Parts: sequence; structure tokens; C-alpha cells
Amino acid sequence: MTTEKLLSESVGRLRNRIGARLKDLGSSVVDPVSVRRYREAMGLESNPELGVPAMMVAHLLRADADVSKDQRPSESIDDVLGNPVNGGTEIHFKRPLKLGDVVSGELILVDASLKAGKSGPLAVVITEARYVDAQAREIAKARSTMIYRGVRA
Amino acid sequence: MMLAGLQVAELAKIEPGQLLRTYRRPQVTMTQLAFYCAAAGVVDPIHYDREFARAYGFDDAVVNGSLRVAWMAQVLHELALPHGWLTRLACSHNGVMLVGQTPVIEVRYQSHIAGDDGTHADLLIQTLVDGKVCDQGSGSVILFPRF
Repeated sequence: MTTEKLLSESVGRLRNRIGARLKDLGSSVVDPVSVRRYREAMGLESNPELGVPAMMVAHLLRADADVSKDQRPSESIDDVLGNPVNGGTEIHFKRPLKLGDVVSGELILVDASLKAGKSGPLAVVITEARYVDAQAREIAKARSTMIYRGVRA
Repeated sequence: MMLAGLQVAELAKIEPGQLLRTYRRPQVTMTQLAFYCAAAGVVDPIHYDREFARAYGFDDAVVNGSLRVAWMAQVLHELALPHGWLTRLACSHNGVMLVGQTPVIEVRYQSHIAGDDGTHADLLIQTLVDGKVCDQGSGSVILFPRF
């Protein structure tokens, strides 16, 4: 089967799931130790009282790390799409994160389409991570575009 | 980063496209990348293993795209302090950034409007390395919000 056919079928399957929740991202507390570590890593003064960096929201609910192998992680959304590149990010913040916030998140499939690239067909997949506080009020949402330039080996 | 916050009077005097702030980051170190990967839970060795990165065709360890976005978000957020905050950031990466490089973040004015809830400013942001644009995007901040 050709790459274009495989990409097309994969996009077709994803299109049937538009609006679906792909993943429950879980829940986490914005604690001073994590904020200190994140601020240090960004090169900021480490005092967590100086504020929670805006983009920390995207890392509070990260998946468990697999440290058993020294290899690049797969970032494909399914078993077919491969060779991804980041096509851009758009984040909206309703309010700044605060120490003590309890953040929950979910990942939603927003769109999937097949496009013609310079070197062949591309699958463009847009997802949105939605983050809410303990009262289920929106804190932030991050829309990501991933471009898959081929299929998995 | 400690950038001077934006003032409404400042916005009233400038033209769209005019440079508002320049922030020169220190050189990115391997220690910083290791700390960032640990803090953010990144397990891709191209960011913390130089030989691994070279085996994948990079000239050196690769600065995380999410760290570059975090820097841009922080710069815009600090421009809105002490009362406001970053409300939107849209950005994309134009090129690879490597350990040892010294990113420069530039913020330009786009527009602003006084709303019922405060003053909203739209800004353009880009990160340059050796004069080349690595990241670019736009952001919005709310200044002096009214609740």
C-alpha cells in the first residue's frame, strides 16, 4: 500500500473521532518544589513566590517518563502516522497559575486532514489540551498542530 | 527575567511594528538542558546527550522547543506585570537551536485597545540566534485588568 493511501486511511479514521477525548491527562497540584525546579530550569530566579511560569501548565500533567531506554520517544497519534514535525502552538490563558492550584486536563482531537507537501502527502493533525482548576473553571487551553510526513517504519 | 512592564502611556506613543523590548538570554548550557528535561519530564536524549544528538544528524544537543516557547511566554507575561498576565501566545519554530547558542528575544508592538476588563495589547515576538529567526509568533497580554 502506498504512503499516500496509508496516510489517507489514517486521516479518515481520525476524522471519525474529531471532538473525541483522546486522553485524560490526569490531575496535579502546583507545588512549590516543582515550581522552583521549573523556574531554575528556565534560568529564572528560583523563588516560587515570584510566580508560576505560564507554560508550566503543559508539564504538570505530563505522561510518566520511560527511562528504561536511551531512545527517542515516538510522538505519533496512532500506529500508522510517522516522521512528525511540530506545526505550531497556540495557547490561551484565562488566568495565571498560582501555587496550590489543582489542575486537571484532557486532550481533544480537533481536526485531521491530508495535504499536499513539497515532497509528498502530509497528514495534519490538530489537538487541544484543556486545563481546568478544582472548580472545573478553565485555566488554559493549548492547541497543537503536528505534521506527519510519512508512516511508521 | 525582570523586564520592565508595559505602560499604557508607552503604548500610546509607538507605531505598529516598533521594537518594544529586547531580552538577551545567557548562553544555553548542557546543565540547563538537563535541568529542563528533568523538570518537564522530557526523555528524548537529543536534548541531553551530545553524541546521541550528533548520531541523529544535529551538530550538538538540541534546545527543547517547549523551553523556547516557555521563554517567549515568560517574556510576554513579565511585560504585563505587576497586575496583568499573558492571555495568548501563538508561535512556531523556524529552525533548530543548539546548546551553546545565545538566544535574543525581541518584542514588537502591534496594537492595543481599552476594554471593559482592562487594556489589551497585541504583540509580535521572535527569538533570534546569530541574527536568524528561530521562533516567531504573536501574543496578547492584559494590562491593568479590572475585575
